[in-house]
Amino acid sequence: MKPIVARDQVLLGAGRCWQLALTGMSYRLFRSSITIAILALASAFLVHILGHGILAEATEHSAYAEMQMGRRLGQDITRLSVADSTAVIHQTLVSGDAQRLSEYSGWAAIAPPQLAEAQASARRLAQAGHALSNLPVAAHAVIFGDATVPELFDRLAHPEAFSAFLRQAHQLGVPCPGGDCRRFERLLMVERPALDRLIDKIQAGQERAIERLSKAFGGEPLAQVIAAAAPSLLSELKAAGFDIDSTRLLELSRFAQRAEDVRGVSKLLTLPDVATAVAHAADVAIGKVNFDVLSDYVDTEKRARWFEKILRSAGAPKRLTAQRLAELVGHHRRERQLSRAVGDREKEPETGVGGLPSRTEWLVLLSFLVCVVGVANAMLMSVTERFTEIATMKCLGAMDRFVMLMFVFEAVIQGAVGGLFGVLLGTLLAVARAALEYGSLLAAAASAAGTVGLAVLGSLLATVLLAAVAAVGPSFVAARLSPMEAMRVE
Amino acid sequence: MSDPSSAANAPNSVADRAKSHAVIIRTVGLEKSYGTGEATTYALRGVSSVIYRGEFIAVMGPSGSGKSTYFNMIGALDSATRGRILIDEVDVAQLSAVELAFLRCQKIGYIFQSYNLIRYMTALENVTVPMAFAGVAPEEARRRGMELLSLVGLGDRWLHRPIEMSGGQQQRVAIARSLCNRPSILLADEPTANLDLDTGHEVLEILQRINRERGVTIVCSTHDHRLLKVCDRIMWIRDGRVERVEQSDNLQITVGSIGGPS
Repeated sequence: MKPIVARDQVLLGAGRCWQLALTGMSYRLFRSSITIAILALASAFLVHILGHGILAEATEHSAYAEMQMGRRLGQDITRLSVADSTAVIHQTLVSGDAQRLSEYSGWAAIAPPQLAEAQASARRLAQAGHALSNLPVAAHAVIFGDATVPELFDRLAHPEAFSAFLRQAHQLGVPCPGGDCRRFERLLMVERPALDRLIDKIQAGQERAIERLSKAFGGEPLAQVIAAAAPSLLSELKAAGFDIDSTRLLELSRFAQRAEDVRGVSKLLTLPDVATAVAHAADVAIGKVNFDVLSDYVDTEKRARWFEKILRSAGAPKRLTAQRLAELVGHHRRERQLSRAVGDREKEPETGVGGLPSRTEWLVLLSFLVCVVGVANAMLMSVTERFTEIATMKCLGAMDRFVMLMFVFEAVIQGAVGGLFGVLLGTLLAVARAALEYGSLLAAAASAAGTVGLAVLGSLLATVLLAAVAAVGPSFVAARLSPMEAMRVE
Repeated sequence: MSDPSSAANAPNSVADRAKSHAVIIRTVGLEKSYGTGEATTYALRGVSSVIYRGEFIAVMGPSGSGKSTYFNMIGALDSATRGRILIDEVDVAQLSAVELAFLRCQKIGYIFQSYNLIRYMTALENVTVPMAFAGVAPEEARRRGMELLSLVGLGDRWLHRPIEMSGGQQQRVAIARSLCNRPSILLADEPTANLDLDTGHEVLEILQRINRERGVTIVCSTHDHRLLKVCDRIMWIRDGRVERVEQSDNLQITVGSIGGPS
């Protein structure tokens, strides 16, 4: 008979604990389906919120970019008939748009060093303006009154006003913009007037160029000339000092053509016959017929042909074919979609960290909290249900550490399983919701797939972590259980 | 070697036959109380007892007698309010949690009234759990587990889960489990209480065989009078005290007045 010697019990490694926790996991998984469902819901919610946010952001971003491109085309056409405003020229000098700058220097005969100097002044002015408008509210009120930045600069150009400003600034403890008052004074007294003169010169040059262009085409509205894509247009533009290449001109003329055609169709829609026909077909009041209604109604080839016939009878020009109509309508629809998408973005309430609205953040946090409580409760029930089993294990030599680890591991597995289901569900929901909101625009969000993947991975990890955190309390209860419980008979 | 509190505990010729007089469990003035002051209730009021190495001892007593408390104490599952428990001359109260776990894992085997098999594990897995805690390699544990299952006559049912087995079979798996780390002491808490006569008899036979062949000390709490025939000594507990300790040879027991195999 060997003697009984009390030695230290072997500490099971994490691997062995893991193995033991895995035994009968299929049985446990079935029993803990409620816990898993809660975890799945939590992760689905998180992935849905994050995924939808990312997709919406990406879609709106690309929609915004596309819309900006359209706006830019409109602006380019406008500046062929109206000179740039002072603010636009100033902004161009600051941003350093090479193409426009070369046009400016052509019109106003500015030498490169002079241009560089003007740009530097413009930037310094912009910086000074920025610094001054970011003053504390009280100081801002004293210095600005009701004035805007340019008005303030105009006022400070008088020496006595400037010395008054210096006194005020000193009293308020506000440093001069750029930290150097002398330099600021020079900027206002010398550089700003020079810059203004230069800008005036540029404007005058552009006006001369526009006049020349208009003369070349016999005073015809320039938008129409561009829409018609006259062969001499490119050379005339070059001669007038506009820096536009043939591809850009092609885009401009397409844009102008489209605008022209939409205008034409819209005009025809005001004719009683056409308006009645469309109102009847689209089932709206006659007074409400416009291009939007038309673009919503004419969504098939058949309807396009139907409308073509109406146009013919109303005496529309030949180039307005059914095909062209479909093109116009399709483009118009996409533009409306874009502006809707971007409009949503502009309406969005204040945003918190990570581009999420702060209210949503709270919701996510709260839902996770509720989830932790729910999971902890379910686990506690499971622990209570397994008192005998745990106590028996302790009788058989299980250490507290092992019991604790076993429950945490179990929770981790549950978290992983629930998380996987939830992540799948959440991703599907997010994509479905985004598709409902943005339709075909969503294709632009394909580039955000990686970010969505990261969100999915993060949510999965968060769910596993959540389960583990929720399991700490119950597993502590289990670990502290007395082995005596095993002797109890139900 | 003899305990002053009880003359009947002294070794005599019957116990001598197979035993080496070595004391394996000794309790000295064991007291257990709950609550304080006026409300104090005593489960044990000074139990001094000796259990010898290799013997088969039955602990009997009505419910509420303190039998279960005594049982938990000598199984190192509970601590005493006063008095000492010595398992192989080692004071259990002095052991750390880690040493206690070692004792429970390697030196004492537990058999429960309601078997306490782990529901979701197969018979073999149930038997190998304590070996996992003892750090036995999985292959070795599997081999030993199969050996023990055949010892209790369940070699072909190793893949069954507790729910697919009868009470007697479950208790036999539990016995196999209790033996897997080759303990010196087997503590059986009413092992036959939930079983019918035939299966109860089988379980008792297995316990007796283990006691004879392996020299394992068996302490068995019971109401089952058939057990008295199998054991060497009987300890009667009443009102938290040892009432008397008897040699089973001295008892005249008639079993099977209603029926049964014996």
